[in-house]
Amino acid sequence: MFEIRFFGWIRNEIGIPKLLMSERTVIEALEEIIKSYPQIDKSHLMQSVLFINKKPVVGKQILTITLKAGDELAILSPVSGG
Amino acid sequence: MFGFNGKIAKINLTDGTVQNYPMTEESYELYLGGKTLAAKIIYDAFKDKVEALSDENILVITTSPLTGSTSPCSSRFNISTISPLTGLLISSNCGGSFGLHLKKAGYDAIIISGKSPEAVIIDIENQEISVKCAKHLWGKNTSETQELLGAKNRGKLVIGIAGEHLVRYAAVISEERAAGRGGVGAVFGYKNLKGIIASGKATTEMFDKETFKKHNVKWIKQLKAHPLTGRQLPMYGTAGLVSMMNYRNLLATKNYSSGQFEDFEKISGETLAEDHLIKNKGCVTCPIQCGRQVEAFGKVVKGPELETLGLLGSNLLNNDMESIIRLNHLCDEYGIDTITFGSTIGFAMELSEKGMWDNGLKFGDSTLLEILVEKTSKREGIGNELAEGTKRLSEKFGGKDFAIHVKGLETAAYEPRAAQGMGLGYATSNRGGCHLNGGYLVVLEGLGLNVSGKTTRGKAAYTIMFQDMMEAVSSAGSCLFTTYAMLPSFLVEKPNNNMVRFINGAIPLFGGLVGFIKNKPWLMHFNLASVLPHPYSVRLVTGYKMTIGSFLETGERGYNLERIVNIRQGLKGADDTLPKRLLKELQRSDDPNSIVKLDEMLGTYYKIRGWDKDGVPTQKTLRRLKLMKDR
Repeated sequence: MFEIRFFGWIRNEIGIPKLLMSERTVIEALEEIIKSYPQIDKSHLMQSVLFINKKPVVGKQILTITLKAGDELAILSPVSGG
Repeated sequence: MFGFNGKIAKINLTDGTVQNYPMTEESYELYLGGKTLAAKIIYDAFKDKVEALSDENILVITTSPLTGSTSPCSSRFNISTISPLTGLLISSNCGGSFGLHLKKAGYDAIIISGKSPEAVIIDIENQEISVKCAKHLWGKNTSETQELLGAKNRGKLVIGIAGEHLVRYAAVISEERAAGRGGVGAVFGYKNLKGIIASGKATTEMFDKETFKKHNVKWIKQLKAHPLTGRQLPMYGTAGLVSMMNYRNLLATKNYSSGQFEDFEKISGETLAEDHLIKNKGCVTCPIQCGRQVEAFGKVVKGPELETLGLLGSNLLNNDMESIIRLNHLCDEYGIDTITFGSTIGFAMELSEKGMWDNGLKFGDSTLLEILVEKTSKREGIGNELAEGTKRLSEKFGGKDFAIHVKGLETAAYEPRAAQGMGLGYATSNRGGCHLNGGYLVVLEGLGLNVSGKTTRGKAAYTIMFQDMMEAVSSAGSCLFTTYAMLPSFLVEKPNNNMVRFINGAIPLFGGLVGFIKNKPWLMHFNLASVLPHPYSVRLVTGYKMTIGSFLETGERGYNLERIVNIRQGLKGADDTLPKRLLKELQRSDDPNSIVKLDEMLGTYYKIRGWDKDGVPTQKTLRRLKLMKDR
């Protein structure tokens, strides 16, 4: 199992701070989230900022990365400010 | 005269006399208000260097043209003086309602000189100024002092016990807000000035009231619709930055030895909102309402801002949110700046860890911190050392390489080794290690947009543009958060969009163009209120021919004037630097670029600024900014 952590308004929308998933690609994980949590705005999720094991990941190719046991996928809403 | 009272009072505390301070309309137009107008007054007040804690030093409290105008986020005011922490000019900006009350009392600004022989307060009501005995208030904390002052519906400004004991980073508190940075509270304390109350019924005339009203409606709508000012800040306050900063390696951790804190979530905006938030709270006229009211330790109190969470949290390896809320509350009660206090404690912890100062402090151990707020405020025991701030501690105990300050002012919670522009901003800021006066380029480098924080390319020009813009916005009287709405929403909301990624990649390449335009403000001799509403607001309030170009030039004028005051105070180009830890120690051992490459940016910065190789504004620059005749 790997861990998904939510921050920012994505977390507010989904209503939970984290969840666990079995091995799958990033895009499969995002699709599973949309399916399981219909209250989440799909466009917000697809435009969120992603970090795998605390490293930033960008570009379409990241969607095919397979997340394995012990990995952490952090999903942050794309803005901050202060 | 539109937008101003046209009246500034000079109050001499030595003999209790009050005089009108002459200010021409030309000066109002050139310097507007806030920190820039204050810099002009302080520049004119002295010929040579002035000691901060001396009878000679003055306090200048200024409002701005937008103060009291009902413009969004315009209830701020400014306190400027020579800082006891840095020996340089400090301008400390504060929300709340005091500025509004001061302007309604009939003054655009007050200048406080001399030193009272006993504890006093200044009472300003409808242009009547009286200096009153405040012996009964001396020794009281800030909330009790404000309560004892009574007078509901009046603006109040007080110091706590720290200011009385001349703690070099003592704050001035107004309601729950703080003019925190640089020790303005210690200058109050030195002058035996416990506080100021103000109120009145004065109104200022407006140049074009009807258009201004319509402009405000649009501006408020824009702020509410923007993802930063309409969603993120209301939802999480500034505390909402903690998580993103952590992932971006920007969160000051363990005295700036790292940009990530393992327990960041425990001190995050999300945790604050989920476990403690009672309601949002904000300044008068503010549609953003970024302030937090939280419940902790059985009390409802002000919630901590991002800087406090960083400096009293991750920077001390303190993962206890309740402890941070309590410390924040105590710092406000005693009247000390949470940023400098937290940073100084972090430095003291590292000195202890390295065996350089046996002070009993340990990273990750928050048990002593609450008592240290009191000891520091009263200058008791090691508190007397901590009350001096990081720079002076390093001069006594060593450790200059990891004493995290710039020009004597401790840096904010943004770790700059992952944001080159922020590093340059800290190094060149007139206040010292200040993120806001430094230009806050980190908002482009991962917090708002996704411009690479690793590249130095273009950063000098953007830093200057942001420094000048924020200077002008502050002088106009607006909260700096209103500038976030300038960032196009689609760039902020869609970071994974191909076009947005392309733009983020291209932004540094346009640095040369930005630098070119900066010296040609006539190229921006127009208003684009939907992008930058502030100059148009100033125009409608004052009638001045304010455009984007002349607005930015006002900011540049202020920035250069502050620089000149600092040079008179002894500032050298060599002071535009950062601690060795940030310049030489890798933030992450696997990234050879995780240092601030200041050398790659500083020369370009001076060149675009129109400063010589020693960081002194050239005569040509001063003439262009209409500062030459003032020299």
